[in-house]
Amino acid sequence: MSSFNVDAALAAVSIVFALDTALFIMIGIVVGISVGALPGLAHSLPIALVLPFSFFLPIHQTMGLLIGTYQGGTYGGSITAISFGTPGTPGAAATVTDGYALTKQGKGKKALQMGLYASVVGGIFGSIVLIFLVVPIGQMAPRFGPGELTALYFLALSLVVVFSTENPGKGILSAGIGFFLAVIGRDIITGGLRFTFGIRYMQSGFPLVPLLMGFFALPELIYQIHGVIRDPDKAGKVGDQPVELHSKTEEGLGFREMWRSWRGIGIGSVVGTFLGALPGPGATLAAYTSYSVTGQFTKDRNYGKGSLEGVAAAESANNATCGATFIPLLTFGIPGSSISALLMAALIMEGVPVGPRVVVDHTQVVYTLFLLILVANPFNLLFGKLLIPVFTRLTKIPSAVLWPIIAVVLVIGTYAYNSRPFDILMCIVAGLIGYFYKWFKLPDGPLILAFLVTPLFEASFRQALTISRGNWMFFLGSNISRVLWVVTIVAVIFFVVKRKRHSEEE
Amino acid sequence: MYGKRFLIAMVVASLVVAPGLFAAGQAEVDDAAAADEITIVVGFGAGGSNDLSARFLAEALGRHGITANVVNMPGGMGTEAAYYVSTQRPNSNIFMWAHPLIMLFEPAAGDRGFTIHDFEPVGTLASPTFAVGSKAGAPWDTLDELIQYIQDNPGEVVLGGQGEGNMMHFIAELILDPSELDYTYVGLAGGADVALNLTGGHVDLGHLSLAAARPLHEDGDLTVLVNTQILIERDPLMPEIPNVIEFGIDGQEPHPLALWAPQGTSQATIERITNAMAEIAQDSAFVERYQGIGIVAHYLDPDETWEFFMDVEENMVPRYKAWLEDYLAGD
Repeated sequence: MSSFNVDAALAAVSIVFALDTALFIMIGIVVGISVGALPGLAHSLPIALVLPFSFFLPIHQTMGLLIGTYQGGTYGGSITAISFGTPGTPGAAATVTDGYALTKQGKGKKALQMGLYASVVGGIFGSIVLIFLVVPIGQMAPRFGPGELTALYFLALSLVVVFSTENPGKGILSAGIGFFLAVIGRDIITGGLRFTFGIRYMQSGFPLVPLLMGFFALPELIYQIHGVIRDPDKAGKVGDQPVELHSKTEEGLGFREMWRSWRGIGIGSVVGTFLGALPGPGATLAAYTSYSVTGQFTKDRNYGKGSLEGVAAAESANNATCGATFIPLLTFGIPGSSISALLMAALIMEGVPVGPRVVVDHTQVVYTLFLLILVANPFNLLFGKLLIPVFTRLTKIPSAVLWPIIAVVLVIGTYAYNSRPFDILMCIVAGLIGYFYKWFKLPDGPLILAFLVTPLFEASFRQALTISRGNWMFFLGSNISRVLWVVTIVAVIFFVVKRKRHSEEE
Repeated sequence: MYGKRFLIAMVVASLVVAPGLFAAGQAEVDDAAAADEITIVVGFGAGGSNDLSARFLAEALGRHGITANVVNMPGGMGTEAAYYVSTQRPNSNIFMWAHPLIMLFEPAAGDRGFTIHDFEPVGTLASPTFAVGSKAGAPWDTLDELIQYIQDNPGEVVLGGQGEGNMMHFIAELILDPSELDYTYVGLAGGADVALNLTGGHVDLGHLSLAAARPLHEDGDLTVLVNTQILIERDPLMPEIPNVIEFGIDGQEPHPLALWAPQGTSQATIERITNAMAEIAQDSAFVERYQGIGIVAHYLDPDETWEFFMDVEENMVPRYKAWLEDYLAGD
């Protein structure tokens, strides 16, 4: 970046700290949290919906609204993940295991607070890295070509091993199902069809949002509604006061508990920022990577069964991607994710041509963006805190009322993802898979990781082989690749040895 | 007991909501008068050039009294959206924003559930310009020098394009004929991926939009060699960049974006929209906006639009199909 421009910085401060900007950030945060908390309505949807405002709002208001929606939505996804075991957004899927387990243990409020604080810390970390290290990290992104990305995605796939340590057979089966679902659709090179069974809608593959919604939400939905039918008296009725599942004054998160999760928050913030800066991985992969890496270093014996650190690891990572996703956009004008493409479109619609010279030609706009991304975090904290009691209370609504409402919202949210009725059927299929997983107690981590990483790995692997004309040494052609391969081998050995020691101790 | 009743009511509501959603897009309106409100379906995600061009059009239509809502329906290179629109009833006021890649080349590559004959043209307005650029510091400055370099250094140059086996790959091979030139083509994920690989030096050449290439060209991160615009030779965005036709290469890309209505749509509606589009194309502020995103604002009325697409279907698509057969056979 060029030298610091004091005048532009002061102008940006005066714009961001104006009442109208704050108002639009707040509106964005509230819209983001609310929509993010609705299962299926990925936060790219509200961002796309507010995009047309770019035509008539000034840039600081538009970007305040969009950034607020983005950050609020990224956090909001954790609310339903923790409260109902149904991720509001794909990025919150990794939060479900520990978050919902805590809710069932009567510690839902603690989990929601941990999700919020970790999100804010991760968000601030990602924003600060964006502000101070945008150029060095931005320069790094183009150095990841097909060879380097193959090594990186192989490292991510090796995390399947981590998820499988409890029972390797179940882990491999779970990952295998994930691989299978990921290859459905058109071959990325030849365009040939794979496992579409003559269904034309399957040509574009198994959609991510219906998969996650169905996989996590439907089994729980069936379980809860089964409970209502089996024992209607316990399920409550319309007009009942919320049932007190837990003590009336449910304990909140203490500072010590927060502090004990420093590893998860730290790992999540770093992993989220790193993966967020790279085109491709996104918040969901960042959260799963952080969750699985933290699992290897945590001292919490409840990790995976109701751990605050598990919530912290996933939530800090997905929010850390928010700032980092701007890095390739502001250094090269290249959007690294669908969200940054939307934000780039908003800038273009506001008359700001995005490219490598945007920092020089539109310094004040870039400084305004930096500040907006940073300032949105305290607003996220404020509204998150205000809304936690509301969502804590929602979990106490009688099952006979709550779960049918979730079912309707799930159908609407899944449809809204792509405006395709077929996605609702895919959601139901994913629900059957999820039920199968619950029945046989299969770990969900390998499935999600394999599903997310396989297409990325396949693309970069085949591209690398094409570029090198079949020369496998190409995968060791750069220092970045070599380091990543070494890290992969060391990590797998570390996980296996650790598991062996753990088994011996038991 | 009440809980059970409520549960049953909600289940019934779910069952009502789902088919309602199925039917939502099928709603038919009275076609006696020209429509005041339409939906423009874009076959790609929000934020790209297809989407932005549709949004600019929608905003401009609003000033002509037509409320246009843009809906993104990504999947299958735009064919999911085109199939969806093709199955709508006439006068549902749902329109497709599509170029020949979606309307002609994809259906030619395989059954996509629709053909161009399921639609009626409303008008063409946008023609995105694509370009071939080379990485910074490449040992050539022009297309001729590049061709000479490839001939002198067989197997060395790597061209990064947007996918494989599609129209854009076909065009890239029209510009650099692999039967005469020994280079490697690699299909990347899209324009942003091409730009990243080019700036990172992972590929030597890239096939990407002029709008994406220009800022990187001006910053010295890559060099734009040639544009492939089909409707005009020199793009006003970078008039110094020659068109591929100037090198005697028949590699201009048929990329113009047109608005399409399902067959049988009210002529009053089509006429109203196409008249508005004709006026919009004369609006200098609109033309400038399009230019800023690397799109040439060029209006073709419904007849001209049909003529243009049919010309592509007759002259280019058969060559594409033959090329695709060879490509899939590994020749």
